[in-house]
Amino acid sequence: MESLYLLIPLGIVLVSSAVALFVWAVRSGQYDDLDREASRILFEEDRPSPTRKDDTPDE
Amino acid sequence: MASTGHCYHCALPIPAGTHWHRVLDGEERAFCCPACQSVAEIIHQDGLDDYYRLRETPGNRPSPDADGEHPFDNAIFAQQLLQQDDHGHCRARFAVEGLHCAACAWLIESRLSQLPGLATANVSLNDQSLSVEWDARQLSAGQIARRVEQLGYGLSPWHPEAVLALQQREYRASLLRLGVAGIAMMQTGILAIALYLGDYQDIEPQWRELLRWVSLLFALPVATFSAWPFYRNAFNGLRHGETVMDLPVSLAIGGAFIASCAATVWQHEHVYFDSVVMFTFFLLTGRHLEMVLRHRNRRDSLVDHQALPWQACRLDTDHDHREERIPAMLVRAGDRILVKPGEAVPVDGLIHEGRSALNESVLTGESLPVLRGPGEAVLAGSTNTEQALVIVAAGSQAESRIARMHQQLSQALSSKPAFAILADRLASRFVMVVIAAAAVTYWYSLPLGFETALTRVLAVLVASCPCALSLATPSALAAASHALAKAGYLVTRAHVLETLPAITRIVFDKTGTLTEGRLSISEVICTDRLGREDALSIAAALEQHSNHPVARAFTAVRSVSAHDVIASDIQQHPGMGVSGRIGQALYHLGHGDFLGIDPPDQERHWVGLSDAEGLLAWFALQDRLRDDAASTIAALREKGFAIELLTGDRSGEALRIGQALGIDRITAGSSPQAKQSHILHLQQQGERVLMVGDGVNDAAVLATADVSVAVADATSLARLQADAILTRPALALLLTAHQQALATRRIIRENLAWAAGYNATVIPLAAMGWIPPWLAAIGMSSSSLLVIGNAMRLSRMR
Repeated sequence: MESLYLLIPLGIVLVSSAVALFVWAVRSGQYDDLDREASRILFEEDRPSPTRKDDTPDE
Repeated sequence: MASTGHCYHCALPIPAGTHWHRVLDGEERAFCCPACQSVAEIIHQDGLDDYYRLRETPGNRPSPDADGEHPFDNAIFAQQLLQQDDHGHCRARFAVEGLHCAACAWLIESRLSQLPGLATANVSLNDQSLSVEWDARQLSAGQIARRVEQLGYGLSPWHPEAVLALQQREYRASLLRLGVAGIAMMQTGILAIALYLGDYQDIEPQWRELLRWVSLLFALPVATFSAWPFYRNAFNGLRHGETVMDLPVSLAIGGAFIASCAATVWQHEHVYFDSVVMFTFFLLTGRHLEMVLRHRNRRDSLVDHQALPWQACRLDTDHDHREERIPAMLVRAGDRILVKPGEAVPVDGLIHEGRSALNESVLTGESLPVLRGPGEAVLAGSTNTEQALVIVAAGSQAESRIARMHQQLSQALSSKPAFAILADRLASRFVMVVIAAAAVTYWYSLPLGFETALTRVLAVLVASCPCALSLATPSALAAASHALAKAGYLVTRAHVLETLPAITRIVFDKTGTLTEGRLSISEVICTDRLGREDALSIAAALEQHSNHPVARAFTAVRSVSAHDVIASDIQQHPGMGVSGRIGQALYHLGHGDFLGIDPPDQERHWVGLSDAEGLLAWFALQDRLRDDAASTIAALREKGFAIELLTGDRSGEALRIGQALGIDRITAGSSPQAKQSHILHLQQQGERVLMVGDGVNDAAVLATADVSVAVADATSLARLQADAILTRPALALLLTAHQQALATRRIIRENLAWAAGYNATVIPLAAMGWIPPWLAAIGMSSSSLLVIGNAMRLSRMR
């Protein structure tokens, strides 16, 4: 049971970091648009574009 | 080879005789126009084909690329629109038009992120906005806007409502408190189970101390940070001499926490950390739900100001009347503004040149355009349907009549009193009972010792948890509104679901509510010189470029026709008709007066087609009744509602339609004021009125009725005032909403009965010392979950 003296502080550290992450997520607006974020996972992010070579913005 | 399918991009029917094709990803795709084709090419080139795979609704057809400087790059405008810091870092927010689903949002973000110099781009479906940050040295706002417009979406300046910023802060703060309480609840829960089991199995003192201290640590942020709003409300209530619900709550949370701290320090019998945290969490959930509902109600009714265009085309009189595209807010009195057909008039003014028919339905509710010529006044927000006009501005956009109407309605909106929910009225009585019970308990338990007395008082306060009570109503309302919104009935005011069961009389508007609000061809009378199909294609070809409602009736038919007819030398004769050449022959299409021929009868709206030799065909135009109008009205009558028709329309149509639908009381030709007094009169007779309407001349009436519903294509001002909006033009939703309101009332009563019963049982038991902390915790959580679960039954509508 002595392990509790290690595990409980460890648990406290983990929970604190979880809370810190949560606070950061709320403050950076990640919870503002809940409908949209649910579908984000369906889209592939870094797909290489097949024909783009130059990146000049078109007029 | 003519295609007869639907456009791959926008899903509209492909006009006969067009051949826009491209091979994309190995498959040949057909499009309705070069614009859609180029959008698809762009999407494919940029590697964004996921859009087609994952979208839920068809895409938008982009408008033709305008040249010249983009209004966003205008210096004066940019000052108001952008935020720029010294390092050239720029930030702006735009309202996006044409967003349908997450795929659209992703498409825009992905396409923008390919621009060099772009830092972040974020589309919010919630408020239909695009937030962008970029490097001003590499990019301009106009370039960013063009990139988005190429995909078919419209960008306009963001109108920040101060209340939205406030709502966002409120929402985030509440979420933080809730999250902290939730995480702490899990931790103290684990520790509490260990402690309760330990009580049974003789836990050793040092472990008991350790677990208690750790529980204290986790409960501390909850009892201070998360529960802060309760303390603040209780204190404010006391200052004003009111006993609010938050008073016993604060006493329970604060008192139990302090007592538990004392118990931890001085090794007393019971600690209540888990109850304290759970209590806070459930109450915060109830409040959070209420707040989300309140915000959603207000936000959805702050609809876009799209009636007023944000751009205007000014004629520079100093430089040979050159056209320049400027932001509409920069227009001043005396400026010459060009309004092309299809565009909305940006400011109030007088016509200088040109004669055209103007659609003023946004202001008057009249669906047929009105003819105006030089010297006559035009109003901001009306749409020019036939020919280009040059107007002289009478003032700025903010001074226009419609802008002032917006202002008045917004003010009326914010002063409309909130509907008192049943639980709030019971709240103060409940508080008295709880405090009395606690005091009595303390008095009676004092002989047993101070600690026992305190424990019992705390047990009473904790067990009398108003969690279930505070969750009872908002959870039911949230579940019910959500289900209705998915079906197409958007509730924008909290009182709707509670007032609907009391409605006795339903009043309908005609145009756009019972009817579709647009003209369609109901009958074609041909002569033996020309067949029906040919007559329709000739008429459609002549009306190709007009925005008049009459023209749209014909062009709607065109894409179905298999013939390929193009007209040239088309001339609009405003208010009369149109003429043009097809091949060598000159045709005329218009009213009887225009052709010089008498129409078949005087009752219906007839438009005739003739050539040099005489009449070719007659077309009867009609505003069609909605498909479910008859069945819905019959069903509503069966349910016992009195049905009325109240319209500003002066033609015999109202009487005819009313009789066809079996409506007993029909009032036609009513002015907006007359409509309003009619409703007031009914209310004075004791009737509770539900008004279903559409145009802006209903806006004041909608505010007067007990419950008001605006139909889907209703103009923005009517939607602002309506208590509920039909996002799909299905009148049958009125029945659905009524049923759902009855179900909601039943569920709320069940919830309140359960909550009251639970408290009534548990408080005496707690007073007698039979409720140890663990039992209080279980009781609290299960009663809350029961109430929420019961409310969830409303999510499944029959």
